[in-house]
Amino acid sequence: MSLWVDKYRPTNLSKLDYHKEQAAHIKKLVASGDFPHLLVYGPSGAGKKTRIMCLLRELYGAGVEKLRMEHQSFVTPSKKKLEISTIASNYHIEVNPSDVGIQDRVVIQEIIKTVAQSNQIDTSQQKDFKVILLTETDRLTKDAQHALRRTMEKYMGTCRLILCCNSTSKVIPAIRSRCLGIRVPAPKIEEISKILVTTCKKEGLNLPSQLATKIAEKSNRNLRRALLMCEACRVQQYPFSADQSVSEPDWEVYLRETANMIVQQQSPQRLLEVRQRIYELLTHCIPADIIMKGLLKEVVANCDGQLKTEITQVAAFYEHRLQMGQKEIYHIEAFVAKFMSIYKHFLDESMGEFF
Amino acid sequence: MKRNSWVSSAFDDFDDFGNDHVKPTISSVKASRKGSSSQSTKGVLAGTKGSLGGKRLAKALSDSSLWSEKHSPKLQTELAVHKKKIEEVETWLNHHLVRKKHSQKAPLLLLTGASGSGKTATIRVICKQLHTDIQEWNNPLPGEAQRDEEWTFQNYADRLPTQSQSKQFSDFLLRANKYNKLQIFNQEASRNKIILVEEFPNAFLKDATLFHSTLRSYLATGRCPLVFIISDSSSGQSAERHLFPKDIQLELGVHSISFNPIAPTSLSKVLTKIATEEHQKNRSGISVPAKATIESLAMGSAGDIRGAINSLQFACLKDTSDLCRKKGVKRTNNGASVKLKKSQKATKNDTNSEDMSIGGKDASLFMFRALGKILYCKRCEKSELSDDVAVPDLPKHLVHQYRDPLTINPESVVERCCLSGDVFTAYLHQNYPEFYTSIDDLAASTEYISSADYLTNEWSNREALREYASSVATRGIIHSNSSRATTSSISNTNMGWKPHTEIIVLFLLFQNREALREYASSVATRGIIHSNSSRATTGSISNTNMGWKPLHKPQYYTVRKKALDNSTAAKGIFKDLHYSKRDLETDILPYLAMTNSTLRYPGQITFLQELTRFPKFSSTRSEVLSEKDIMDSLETDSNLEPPSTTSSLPNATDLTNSQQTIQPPIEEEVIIEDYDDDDW
Repeated sequence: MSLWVDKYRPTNLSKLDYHKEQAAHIKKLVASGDFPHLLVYGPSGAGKKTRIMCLLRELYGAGVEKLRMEHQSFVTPSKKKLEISTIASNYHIEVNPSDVGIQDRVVIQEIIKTVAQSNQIDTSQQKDFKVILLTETDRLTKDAQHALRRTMEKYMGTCRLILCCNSTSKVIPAIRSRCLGIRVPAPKIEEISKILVTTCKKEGLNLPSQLATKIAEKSNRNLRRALLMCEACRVQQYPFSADQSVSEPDWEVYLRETANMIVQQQSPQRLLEVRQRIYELLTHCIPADIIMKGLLKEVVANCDGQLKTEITQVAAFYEHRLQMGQKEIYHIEAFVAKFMSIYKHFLDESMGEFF
Repeated sequence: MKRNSWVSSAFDDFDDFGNDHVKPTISSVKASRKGSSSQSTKGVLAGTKGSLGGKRLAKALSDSSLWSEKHSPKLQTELAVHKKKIEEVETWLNHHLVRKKHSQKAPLLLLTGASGSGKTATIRVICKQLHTDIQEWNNPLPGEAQRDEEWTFQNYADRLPTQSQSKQFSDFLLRANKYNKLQIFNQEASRNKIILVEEFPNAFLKDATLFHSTLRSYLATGRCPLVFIISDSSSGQSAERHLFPKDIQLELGVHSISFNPIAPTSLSKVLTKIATEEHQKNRSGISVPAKATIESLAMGSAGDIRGAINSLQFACLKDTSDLCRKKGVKRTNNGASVKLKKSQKATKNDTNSEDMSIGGKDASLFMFRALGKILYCKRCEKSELSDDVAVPDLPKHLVHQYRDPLTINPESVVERCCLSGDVFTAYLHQNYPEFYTSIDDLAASTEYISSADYLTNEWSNREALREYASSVATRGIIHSNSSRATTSSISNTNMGWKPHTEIIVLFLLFQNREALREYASSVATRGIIHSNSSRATTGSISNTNMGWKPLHKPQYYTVRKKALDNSTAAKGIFKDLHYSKRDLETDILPYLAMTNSTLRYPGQITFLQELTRFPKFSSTRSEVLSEKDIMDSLETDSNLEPPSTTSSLPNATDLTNSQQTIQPPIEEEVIIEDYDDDDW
């Protein structure tokens, strides 16, 4: 039994539940039989991958759904072996080059070269290009992005690239200008709750609309998460009740507790405890920027006006450092310490006014 | 039985003596031989490891011998070692030599300390005083023995079959224990005896358990006290940790005495004495160096008396007087009227930073000491700084940034520590919060560490910038601790050194790497020092009783390794779910754990539980750092592997290992304290 997220994923552009206008646009784009390089971006859980897969199906027919996993290995100039797993059909190949870390440049160049150099055999019946789907483009190193720019131009004749990322800000302008950007916004709350209800209906369950809205709100307009939450609720309690609690992943609870610890007390000792908890989160594979975001969101709720901007600015500063630096913990901790310092001053002052 | 050739080279006058394949060098015999020879004066005790035969040494002594051998101490009063240490050794020897008949176990003593801290000299002097013989173990030279065997087949029947070194060692212990030395020189027969082991057979270094079992069997049968001497090395791989782990020390009843490096004052006293003696004896050849030179020699040797005497000998040669640094000489001449101590302080920073080109010791620091130097940043009072360093007063808005001058130079601390900059920063990062009292200081300090990490973001110039980054971190930690910022008696305001992160970023933009190099390194260290406002004054340093704080290993490497493992495992186990790593780990897996969807493999379930569950209250503390870990961290340095998580040392906080907590880790304490009251 697979997850609902996978089970009920629409496979056809016309079956998409929201942003129907955009779907129609894509349909028109593909109808001509050709399209430029695409850059699909939007928040996670908005349905970027789903949309891309629908597009491919529209383009090549049902053949793209026959997927196979492949393990490819590359050798870097420094004789280091890289292993990467790709998902491919006869018409396209999906790679996440950031899996190999800083060596992603080699992967990009090699993959594109091998795909692009093998022409389609029978061009009369098929499209004369293949599609390379690169996910998490925003996590590519600058090196890889520059390599991508050159290869993009070189092999335009035999392949098309679809880049998929969360934010274009980390994609270099040279690539952005070579692609047609398609923004997939997060679905609205109502849209999500509607999807939840219909999904449950397909499963033969009855989901009260209040609970659907509750889940949708809790999911942060992340459809994937909403569906997962809904499934978790189903496990927790069925039949659903309208005021049922929606479970969150442990790490979110843990992160929130950590943020509360920061607000409660500001001392070097507390900082050490917080560091311990952050280490715990990091060991559980929670990305550092998500930790940072989570902390900020929680602590900012405890501040008022002026302080909010100050804290957010500090967070932005250290978030940048975090992206640039290597040891995440330094920067997260710097943010925590800075917040503690500012917040303590704020408390002292307001106490002073009070008396 | 035939004599082996390698024995004869050292003992060509003891023909009847070399009847054993394993030939312990009996050094006391050597000493007495030489004493009776024409050379009237000095013993052979201090630095020699018994490599020269008595006769040859005697011949050489008059002109070209090393002064460290020539002037080795004969009397207890001549030893430069601290009196208490001598007493400690003496009482131990006395106690066990007198009581040896009654006690069941053979007593074991372990002397540790930096090389040239007078361990061997102390033992020899005391033994002489107590009329005790020393039997010393020397590693046989396996190369020569093997070659012999190969080429002289006809003699094969004559010789004993070759034995392993470890076997030879245990045989030596047995013999040395049983038989007294031959009565050749009409000495009284019933003298006491100790066995001294300074070299260890290589086999033991590989397999310490073999050594332990040898010791155990000696304990059962042995009578004489057995003394081991191990020199510390700053580059990790301390034989002490390996050969005498704590549990073995407890089990075998090993008494351990550790020697500190010799204090500069007593060192310069000894040097002056030797120089004058030499001058009187040999007027033409030797000139007594200036007092300042001797002092700088004493400083440069970092407490290694043997090295100090050797470099003194070199400095006293006629044409080398210009080797001594001009600056140091000038300085002390200026302050000649001032007290000795002050002039020492004035030159201290120089001595640390510019080591002598010749005669200076490789003054690498123990990681412990290095961390301590940064975290307990020591500051000197303004008045003690010589006047030629004119410092302008700080403007009003910067007065709170005032820091007294440091007695250390953070860059040289990092440089002399055996870790690379970023690993050192990781260590600092793990440990600094406990040294801060104010959260503001802490925030400033973390910012410096963050800057330090930021500096090395580009891999293309990471190599070049690493140094600076570590400097940013260390200085940042020192500077931020405002409770440690000034001395109590502030006569003048002196702005320590104020790091400026903005400038660094500016520099980065210009990609001016060369200029940046000098700069950024200073920022980290100094920043840390500066930020520590509670350490701003020496007065406040003494006021804020820091006490001793256990240092910890950086957890970061372990955490990162674990995260990496988890993430690869997640990808491997759930590869049939086509999600990107990020979505998989933050969304899919946590909910997968909550839903009841059937998983394909049993491994998936346990892994999910492990990855998605968090402890309700995390109380895991990082490991207490022990000296042994230096080796691990060196490995970390080279291949970025996390330090191994096993520590054979007892750690005070870890109560899970009940067997190891019997004895509190006193030596760590000693090392930190060392730093606080040492003077060089």
